[in-house]
Amino acid sequence: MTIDWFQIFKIVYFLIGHLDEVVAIILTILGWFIIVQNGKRLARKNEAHNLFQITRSLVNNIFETSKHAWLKGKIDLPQIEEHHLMLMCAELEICISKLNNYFDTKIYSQQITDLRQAITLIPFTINGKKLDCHSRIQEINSISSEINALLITGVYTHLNKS
Amino acid sequence: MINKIDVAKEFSARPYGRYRDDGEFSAQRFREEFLLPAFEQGLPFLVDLSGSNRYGSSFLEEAFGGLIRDGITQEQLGLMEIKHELLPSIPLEAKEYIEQAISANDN
Repeated sequence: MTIDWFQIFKIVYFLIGHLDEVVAIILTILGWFIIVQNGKRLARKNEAHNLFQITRSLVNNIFETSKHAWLKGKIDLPQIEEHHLMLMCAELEICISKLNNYFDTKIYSQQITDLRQAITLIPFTINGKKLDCHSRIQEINSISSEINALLITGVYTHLNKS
Repeated sequence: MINKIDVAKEFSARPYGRYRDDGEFSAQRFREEFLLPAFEQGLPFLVDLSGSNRYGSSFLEEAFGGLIRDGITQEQLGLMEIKHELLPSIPLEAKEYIEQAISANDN
């Protein structure tokens, strides 16, 4: 294939002749690109932040609800409360799996398993020793705090970087 | 085709309790009426826990850990697969109870 230098020269000559218009078009395209990318980034950041807030309040609600349930029930957890807590745990796991699409929160299914166990396993034992209600509440508190800490670390470290 | 036990459809979407005395949809009933007969067939089967998010730990412990106490061997356990589409922590927990029951059985 031969290069038609004359044609190329004609195109270059045309572009130089309309340089202001060419630059305007390039700047418009570039500007739109930057606006769209920035919009996407902000939307993603807001979405992740909202999800983070929902997840945190879920963890706190789970702790508060289970604390009241166990202080009241003492030996057993009534069906309605167990189902309510289980639904919250399921919601929490789904929220965390969605959050993990944005950040590496380092919260895995094992932590949710531990939390669910501490909330609903009857009798609740650790190393073969049966735990009373107050020790159970302490354990729920400790797992919830661990999840909260991992959430804050994972999310804010990333949000501050981006 | 692998046999499948769809817990939410075939048993209950609201399972609760450890023993039959705890309620109609207890873990003991699920184990005795669904899991043990599936093992008796000697064919691989899938326990699909999807469709319900309400599995309490006591339910899971009694349903799956109870298999070992009922004499199901580790070899037989290889026939069973457990899954939940949305919540991987639930099959994980069920497997944990099986492991715990095995080590309790060994001691």
